[in-house]
Amino acid sequence: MTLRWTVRPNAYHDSVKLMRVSEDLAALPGVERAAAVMATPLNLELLSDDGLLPPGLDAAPEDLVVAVRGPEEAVRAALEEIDRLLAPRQMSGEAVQAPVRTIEGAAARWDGNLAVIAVPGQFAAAEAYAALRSGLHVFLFSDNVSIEDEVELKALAIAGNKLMMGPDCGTAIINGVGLGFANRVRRGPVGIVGASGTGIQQVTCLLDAAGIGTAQAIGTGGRDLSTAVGGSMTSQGLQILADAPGVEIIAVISKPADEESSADLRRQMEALNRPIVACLLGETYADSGKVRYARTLTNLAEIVVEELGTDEFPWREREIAPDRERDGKKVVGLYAGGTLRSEAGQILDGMKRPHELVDLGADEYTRGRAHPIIDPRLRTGMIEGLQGRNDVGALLVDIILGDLAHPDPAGALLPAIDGLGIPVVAVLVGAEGDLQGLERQRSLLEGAGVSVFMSNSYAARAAGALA
Amino acid sequence: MRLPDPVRPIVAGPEDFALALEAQEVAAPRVEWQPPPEEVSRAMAALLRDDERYRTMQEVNAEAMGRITGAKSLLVDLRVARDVVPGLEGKMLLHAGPPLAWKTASGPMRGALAGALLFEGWARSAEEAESMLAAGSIQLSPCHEHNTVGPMAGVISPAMPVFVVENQTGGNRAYSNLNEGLGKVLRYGANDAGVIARLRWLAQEVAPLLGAAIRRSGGIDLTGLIAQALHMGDELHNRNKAATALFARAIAPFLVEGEGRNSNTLAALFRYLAETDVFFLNLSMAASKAALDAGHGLDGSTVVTAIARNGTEIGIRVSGTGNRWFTAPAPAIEGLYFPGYGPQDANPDLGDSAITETGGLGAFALAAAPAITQFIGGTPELGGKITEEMYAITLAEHPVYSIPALDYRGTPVGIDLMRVAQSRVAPMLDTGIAHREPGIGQIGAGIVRVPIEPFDAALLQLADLSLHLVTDAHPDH
Repeated sequence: MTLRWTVRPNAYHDSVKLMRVSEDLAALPGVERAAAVMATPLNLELLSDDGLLPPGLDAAPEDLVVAVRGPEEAVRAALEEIDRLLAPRQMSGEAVQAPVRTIEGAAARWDGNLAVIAVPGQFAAAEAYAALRSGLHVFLFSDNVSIEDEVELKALAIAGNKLMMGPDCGTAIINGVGLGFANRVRRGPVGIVGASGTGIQQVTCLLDAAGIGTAQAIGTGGRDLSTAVGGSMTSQGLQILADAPGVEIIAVISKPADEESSADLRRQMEALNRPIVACLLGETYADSGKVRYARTLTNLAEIVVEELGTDEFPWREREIAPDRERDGKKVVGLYAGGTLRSEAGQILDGMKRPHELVDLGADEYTRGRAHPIIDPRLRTGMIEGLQGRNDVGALLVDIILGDLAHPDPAGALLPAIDGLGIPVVAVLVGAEGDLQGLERQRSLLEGAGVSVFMSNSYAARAAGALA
Repeated sequence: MRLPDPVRPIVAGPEDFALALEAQEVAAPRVEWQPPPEEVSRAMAALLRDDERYRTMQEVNAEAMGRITGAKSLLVDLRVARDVVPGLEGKMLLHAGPPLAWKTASGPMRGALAGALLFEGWARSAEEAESMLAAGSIQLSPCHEHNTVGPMAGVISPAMPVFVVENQTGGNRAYSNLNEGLGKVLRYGANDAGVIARLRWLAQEVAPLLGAAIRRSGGIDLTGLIAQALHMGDELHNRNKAATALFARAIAPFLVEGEGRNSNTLAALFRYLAETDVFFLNLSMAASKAALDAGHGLDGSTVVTAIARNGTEIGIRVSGTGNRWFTAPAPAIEGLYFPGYGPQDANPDLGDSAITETGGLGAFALAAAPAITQFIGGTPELGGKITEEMYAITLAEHPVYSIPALDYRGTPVGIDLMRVAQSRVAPMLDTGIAHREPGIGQIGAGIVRVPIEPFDAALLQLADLSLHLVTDAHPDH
C-alpha cells in the first residue's frame, strides 16, 4: 500500500470539478482512496482524516494537491490519468491559445454580451461589477453577496441599461437561451419576471404542457423584493416585458416580499395597464384592473390559460381525496427547489397536515457541494435515513429536468426509495424538449410506484392525502 | 433596455454552466478564473462600484499611459553624478531595488557597496568599507527615488559618471551609469584593484570624451534606436547587441570630431563599445525610466511605474501611490546555468533592469528576440507565449515599440494593478543570474515571475487612498 501524490502550483479548479476528479480517481482500478483538493488548511485536514495527507507537504492554498493510495501499480497508473481528468469537458473553444483569465478579457476576445457568473459568493460582487463596467448584461447565480452590493449592482446595471439578474438567480430564459436551471420550453406570448428559479421552471413547464410558450423569463434573484433592494429588477423586468414585442401577457412570480416592496410592485403592475398575472407566494390580493392574482404557481398557469383562451389544463391530473378518518402522519418533503418547498408548505398548512419540508438548495446544504438539482446524492442519502422512522406518512420530492440538471434524476432516485414502504409523490418539472426525456422520466417513476404530477400544488395535496 | 439578441454568454464558474449552454448550441467560452485573496476582491469591487472612483481611475490611467507611451527619450549628456542626480549629497550611495539594509544585503550587493566606497576614497580597504557600511555611516538610497536606474547591484556613487536622458515630451530627466562590461565587475560585487581601476578609467578617460560627443551631437534619440533594435532581434534587457551597434554608429562621427582627441584613447573607447554588447542596457533602462517617471505620481492611477530588485527583496512602485514601495522576498530565477554552476550558487534576483519590462521591453518583447529565448532555456515559441500573456495585464500596445513576429503589434505596456489582481497573472521578467558570492559574476540567465503579493498590497493601498480622495473632495459623500 503506497501513498503517492503530486502538487500543481497555482492550478486553480473549482470545488465541483475537484469533487468529480476525486471520484473518478477513486474509481480507477485498484485505487483504495484518492483526493484532489486545493491545499487550503481545511482541505489538508480532510486529507489527513482520510489518510491521504502527503508527509512534509509544501503547498499553498493556490496549489492543487492530488493524493492517491493503493497498491503501487494502481497508484502510479492513477496519477498518470490526472491531466485527462482535469481537462475541461467542453467540446468547443479554440485549441491552443493563451487562456483568458478575466471577464473583461473574455468579453473582448469573444464579443460576449452577457456574463454568467457562478463563482463563490465572496468573489462574486467584484466579478459582477467588472462585467457591468465591460458593458455586459449579468446573470449572477452566486449567492452570499451582500445586500449593499446587490443594491449597487442593480443601480449600476440599470444606469447602463443592462440586466442584473441576481444575486442568487437560478433561472432565466432570454431570447430562447436558458441560463442556469432552465427547461427547453417553446417560445410564445408569455413574458415572465420572477424572483424564484424553480418557480419560473414550474410555470414555464406547465404552460409548455398546455401548448403555451414563453417569450422571456427574466430572473431577478431571490432578494429583489426585500425592502433594501426595493424590487428594482422586478420593476425593470416589468417595463422590459411591457415594451417587448411578442409579449401578450406578463407573469410575475415572487417569493414572500416585504410589505413596502409588495405594495410598490402592485401599484406598478396596476399602472402598466397590461394583462398581468401575479403569484406573490404567501399573499392573497383581490384582482384589480388588468392584474389578476394567483394563489399558487399552478393557479397562475391556470389564469394564463384562461386569459389566452386556450382552455387546456393538462396538469389537472387525478386528485387523491384525503381519508378524513385517518390521523395523518407527517409528510416529509425533500425539495431541490426552495419555492416549490414553500408552496408545498402553504398547501399542507391549508390542509392542516403536519409536515417536515426541507429545501436542499439552502446554504447550509450546498456548502462545498453541487446544487441538489445537479447532484442528487444528498437527497438520496437523506431518503435512506427515513427508513428507520415510523412517523412519516408520505415522501414528497421534486424531480427537475433541464440542461444544467442531473442527466437522470428519476433513475438516481429509484434505488433510494426501493423498499421504503411509504407512498412517494413526485412533482416532475420538465418540458418535452428537455434532454432527460420527459416521458421516460415519468415512466421510470411511475414504474416504481411513484405518484407523479406535473403540478407542485397537486403533488403536495396528494402527499397530504396519502400521508 | 433592450435584451441581448442573440445572447452571447461568457462563463465565469464551474464548467457545468458552459456545458448547459453548449447543449443548447450556444457557444459559451469560459474564463479561466482563479480566486484572488478576499480583501483584494473587496478592493476591486470598491474601485469598480463607485462611479466617481471608477471614472477617476480610468481618466488618470489614460493620462498616465499617454505620458508614458508619448515619451521621447533623448540622451543629452554624460556628467558626474553629484552634479546632476537630484538628492545625491554627502556620503550617499544609490543602489538598485527597494530600500535596503546592510545586514540583510546579499553578497553581490555588499561587494558593490564596499567597492563604491573604495572608488570614492571614503575607505582604504574592503574591510574598512564594510565596517563603515555596517556601522551605518553611509546613507543608502534606492536609485529609483532619484530618477536613476542601475543594473544588477546598481551602485552609483557621487563621483561616477551618469548618462543624462531627457524626455522631450514631458521634460523630465532620468540617469544611469556606464556599463563596465562583462567579467569581474562592480555590479556583480567585485571590488578588487582591477575593478576600481576600470571604474576610474571609465570616469576619467571614457566619460569626458563620450560626454563631449553626446553634447556635440545635440542628443541621441534613444526611443528611435530602441524601436529599430526591436526589429533587429534585441529585447533591450538581456539582448542589446543591435542597439549597442546602432549607438556606436550614431555617436562615432561626434567622437571623432572632438578636439584634443588622442587616437589611442579613441581606439580604446571604440574597442570598449565593440566588446561590450550589454553597453546599451543602461541607456535602455534610463529611457524606460524617463518614460515611466513621466506617468508617475498621478493620484488614483493603478499603473505600475517601477519593478526593481536589490538582491534580497523585489519591490514595485505605482503611479497613484507616490513614493511607497510594495515588496516581497526576491524570487529565485528559473533558467540555464553556465557549465559548473547550478541553482545552489544563484543569488536572488537583482537590479533595476526590470524597468525595461515595466516600459514594454525585455520579457514583454521576448517575441522579438528568438536568440534570447534559447539562451534563457526556452524556445522561440515560449517568447511568443510570454509576450501574449503580458498583453492581458497591460493597458496599451506601445505606439512606437513593435514586434515583427507578431505582425508589428505594439509591445504590451502599462502594467495595471487591476488586471493583475483580476487575472492573478503577475509580470514576467527575463534576467541574468548572479553568483551569490560577490565578484564571481553572471552564472546564467532565465525568466522569473514577479511575486503577486506586492501588486495585491498596492491595490489595497490604492483602494484605501482613493476612498479618501473622493470623500475629501465631497464632505457630504
